[in-house]
Amino acid sequence: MRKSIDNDLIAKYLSGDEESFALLVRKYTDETYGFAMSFIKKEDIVEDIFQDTFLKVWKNIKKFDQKKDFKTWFFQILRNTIFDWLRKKSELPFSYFDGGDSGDDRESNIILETISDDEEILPHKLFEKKESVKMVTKALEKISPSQKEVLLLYFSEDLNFREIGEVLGESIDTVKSRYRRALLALKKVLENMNQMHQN
Amino acid sequence: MDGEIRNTFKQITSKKPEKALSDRLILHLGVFIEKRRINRRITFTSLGAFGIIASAPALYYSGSALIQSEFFQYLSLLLSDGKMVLSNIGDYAQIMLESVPFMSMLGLFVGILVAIISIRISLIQIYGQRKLIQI
Repeated sequence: MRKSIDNDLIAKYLSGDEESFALLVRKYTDETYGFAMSFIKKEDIVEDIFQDTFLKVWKNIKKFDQKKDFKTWFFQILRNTIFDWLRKKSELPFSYFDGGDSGDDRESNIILETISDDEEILPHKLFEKKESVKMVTKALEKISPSQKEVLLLYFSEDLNFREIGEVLGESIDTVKSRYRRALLALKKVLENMNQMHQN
Repeated sequence: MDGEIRNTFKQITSKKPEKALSDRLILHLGVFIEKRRINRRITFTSLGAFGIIASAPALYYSGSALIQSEFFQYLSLLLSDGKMVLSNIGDYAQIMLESVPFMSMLGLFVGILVAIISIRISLIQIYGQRKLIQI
């Protein structure tokens, strides 16, 4: 349904209805603002990010394959623009933004291989608490941006692993692996925070 | 359980933008698009004008060479003394071919073509219209 609405708007725009592109801008600004803010935090910077993103979308709209999902294509451009900004502004090495998981952690590998259900990784009780939103927001700041984005794309934006793979330009297996490592990383941070809170 | 996790994450990214943000984005995009069109018009109009100016000497010299050639003299012979020409059609044809200023005619043709294309490009850039994105 979403795909057909977006593709209709694109088809109308390419036929000359410029109002359709304005509708796309409004729709995706509204739907993805929270995602962008979760990385950038500053409204004026987010506005610049969106300007760059929509400019790139407009420049490449004729090349967009309408058989594909516009949402994943849009997220691909948006996250690349966000990460380009983060790389320029950050003193952290580039590798911190790509993958964020070297796979050298033996303990992580063992845990990942033994867990059959991803939901077992995260501490359940934490998510039942009222302050879970605050805690998880803080915890997400302590994991790498690339791990954070996988979790946000999966849980907030309801993309499946195949779609996330299209956004990130990665295979499904790589996405699943990064997703599980992200859950592990988040779990560690949440447990540490919980322990500090209790102390 | 997955529902609780999703609910938590959705609340983290639930922040909505002010309505004016979309308006500003659309306006900014509209300005960019219009600037780009103006720049293209200036570029192509300049190219068109240059083409017209460049083709003028080619037209002049080619036309002069054609007029001054013997081609028209032999052509007028066909009109004035057709019977004599037809009785010596072979020789006449050969003389005509030898007298045709091919290079001048080619120069004239190219010059006219360049002038027409240049004028067309300039007119399209000046009078071609597209709507701005409307808020």
